[in-house]
Amino acid sequence: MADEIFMDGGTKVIVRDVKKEIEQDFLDYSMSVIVSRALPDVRDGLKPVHRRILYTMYERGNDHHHPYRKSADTVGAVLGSYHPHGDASVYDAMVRLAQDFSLR
Amino acid sequence: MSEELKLHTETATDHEYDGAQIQVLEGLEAVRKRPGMYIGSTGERGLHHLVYEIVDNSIDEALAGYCTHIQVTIRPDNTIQVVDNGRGIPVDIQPKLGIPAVTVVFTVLHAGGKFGGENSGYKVAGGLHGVGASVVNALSEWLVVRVRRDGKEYEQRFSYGKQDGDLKLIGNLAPDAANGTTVTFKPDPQVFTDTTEYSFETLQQRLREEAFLNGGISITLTDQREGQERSETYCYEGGIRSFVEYIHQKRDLAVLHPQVIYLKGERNGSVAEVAMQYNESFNELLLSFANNVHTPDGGTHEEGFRMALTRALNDFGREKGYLKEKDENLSGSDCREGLTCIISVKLQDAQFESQTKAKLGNTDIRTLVSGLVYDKLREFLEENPAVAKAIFEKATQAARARAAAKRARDMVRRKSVLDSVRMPEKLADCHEKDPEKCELFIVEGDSAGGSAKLGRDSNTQAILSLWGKMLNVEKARVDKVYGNDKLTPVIMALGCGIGEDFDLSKLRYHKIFIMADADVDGSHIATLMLTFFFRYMRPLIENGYVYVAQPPLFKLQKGSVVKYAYNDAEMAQYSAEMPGAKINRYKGLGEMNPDQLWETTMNPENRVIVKIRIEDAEQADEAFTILMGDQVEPRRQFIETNAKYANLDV
Repeated sequence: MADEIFMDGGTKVIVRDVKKEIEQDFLDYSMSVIVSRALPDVRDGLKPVHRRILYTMYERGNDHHHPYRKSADTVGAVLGSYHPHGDASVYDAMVRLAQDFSLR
Repeated sequence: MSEELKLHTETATDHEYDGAQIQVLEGLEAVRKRPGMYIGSTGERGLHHLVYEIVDNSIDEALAGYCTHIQVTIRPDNTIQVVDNGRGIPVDIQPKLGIPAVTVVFTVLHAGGKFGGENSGYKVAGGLHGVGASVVNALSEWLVVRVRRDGKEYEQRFSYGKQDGDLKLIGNLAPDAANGTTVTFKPDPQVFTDTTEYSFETLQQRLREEAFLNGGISITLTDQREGQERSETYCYEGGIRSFVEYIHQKRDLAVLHPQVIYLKGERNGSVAEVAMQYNESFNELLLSFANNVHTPDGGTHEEGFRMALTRALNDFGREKGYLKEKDENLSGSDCREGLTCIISVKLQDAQFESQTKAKLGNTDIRTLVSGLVYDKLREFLEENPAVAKAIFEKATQAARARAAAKRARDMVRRKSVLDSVRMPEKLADCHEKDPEKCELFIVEGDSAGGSAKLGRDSNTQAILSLWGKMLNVEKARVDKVYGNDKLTPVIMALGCGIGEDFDLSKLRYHKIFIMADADVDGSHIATLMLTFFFRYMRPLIENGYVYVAQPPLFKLQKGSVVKYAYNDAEMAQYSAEMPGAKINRYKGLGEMNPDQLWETTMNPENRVIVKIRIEDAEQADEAFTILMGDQVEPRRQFIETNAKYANLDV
């Protein structure tokens, strides 16, 4: 059913069926998770969070012939530039990237 | 607004207010002036209601035993045709008015064959006021009725509710042709100003329901519109038993026992049918119908069923030792956990508590249904010990969970005895104490919560900030909900309790806003929150207290001119108006400073809000089960079919 719209003073009220609201919200969330969060891309085998970590490290020249850097430093850079979520998600993903028994 | 209302706003001296001003609307004119009173609304819902009115007449004919097949067709120009093979509306002259009966039925309010009880044309019928057909006629640009009766075919045309020529005899029927009535009509676009476009799915759902409730009748729905041609036939020999099976199948719920329990009884000409089956979920779904009319607010038939179910299970359990002596009795909700049940009663002189027929009032029906359920259910359990065992296992588990929940709840309560107005730490309350004026914003994230706290009007607006995603209550049992650290603050802040303890009068806010970021995680939080409200605090939604705040998606700035766009259409419009403006996409509430948040999202003078309502509780229930429940397959199907409608935020 179509939304009904009316004005309550200055407030614009849109009346919407709970079914419609939840279906649209759920669809937006689930499709976005499917397309750009949970599944590795077929081109490079990386999920977005992995790609963001690797690219940040590449940008900052953090490779094999440079000195070690603290994880928190990299996490901070990833959060600052690319990944608008919590720090734990970046740190955990980075740890898994370095484990040869988790990712090959 | 109509003329006479406008009058009152002008000064009294300009106009006499005397007898001449009092209008009496005659006949169908009243319907055209106030269509809402007869069909609920002039929106999409009212438009579809016209079809139900005509179909219901055919169904009543079927209940009387004369009609077996009903065809409903959406024709290419969005006109509707309903064909039945009943007796055909009488065409002889109605003695009181002196015009053919069929013309009377379509032009005179409160005319029909369903008033006479035992002696009338109909023994039981959904129609009681005799207004259905004439209302449809009044709201149609044109309407044509053809009656096949006594070997002849007649036609009567109407336009805008008025007779357009006399009843015509248009020919003889072939000797083997069936009797029946055909009604074709075009809804008046002057009345249905929103849309005159029919939805196949809306009609499909209602007609399928009708087919379930009237086992054996076949209903065909055909869409002839270009590009969407299709046709489906609904015919269920199993009646409401098939309805229960269909619900379980559609939601992919694992059933506890293979066979649907079917109980049927009759007394003083009233018939009651109950079909019930338990599944492994925790949710109860009880649909009740009186004379094929859905009664979402229940009434005496539901009361009778609930009473008898609890009593039957407790008595039977004691006798057979499923319940030990020291066990407490099962409560009503224990007995109904995971139960899908359809109750359908057919009776003479149905009394509803309103014209919308939402609640049944006949008291003798309570006795009929409760007697039937008590006796027949015990009999059934006696004969099917395996089913009885499964049901009691389920119910006692529910009772244990309820006890655990009660302990958890008492813990929360006992703590609050120490300081009776204990509120969650994260709540910044408002000064006002009158719930009607108070608003609660449930905000995603501490930083956004901080901005909201600074930007709000602290007289009436309270802020509760939550961090992270809360529990999906669809997949959890009650006792988990009580202990949950994300939901407890919400429950405490609202003050009205949840589930069985829910008490609307204790609610502290009459506007509850879910305010989440305008990104996909924000959408997810809204779904989780709505699931919680729907399952544990449904009256909040039913009373229209639940809202979703709408933060703007874009900010456009050019020099000192700032505009906010709340959707893509506005965005396109403003960016055309302000070429070269700096465009900012808001991904989170935290990106706005307190003033901006107030200005765009919270200020009652210019905010946009979405008010959530429940249009159809059964459909909403199904959507929550599919989207949030633990069965993956139906969800995958939903996503696959609807993927194209998703707004991706990549």
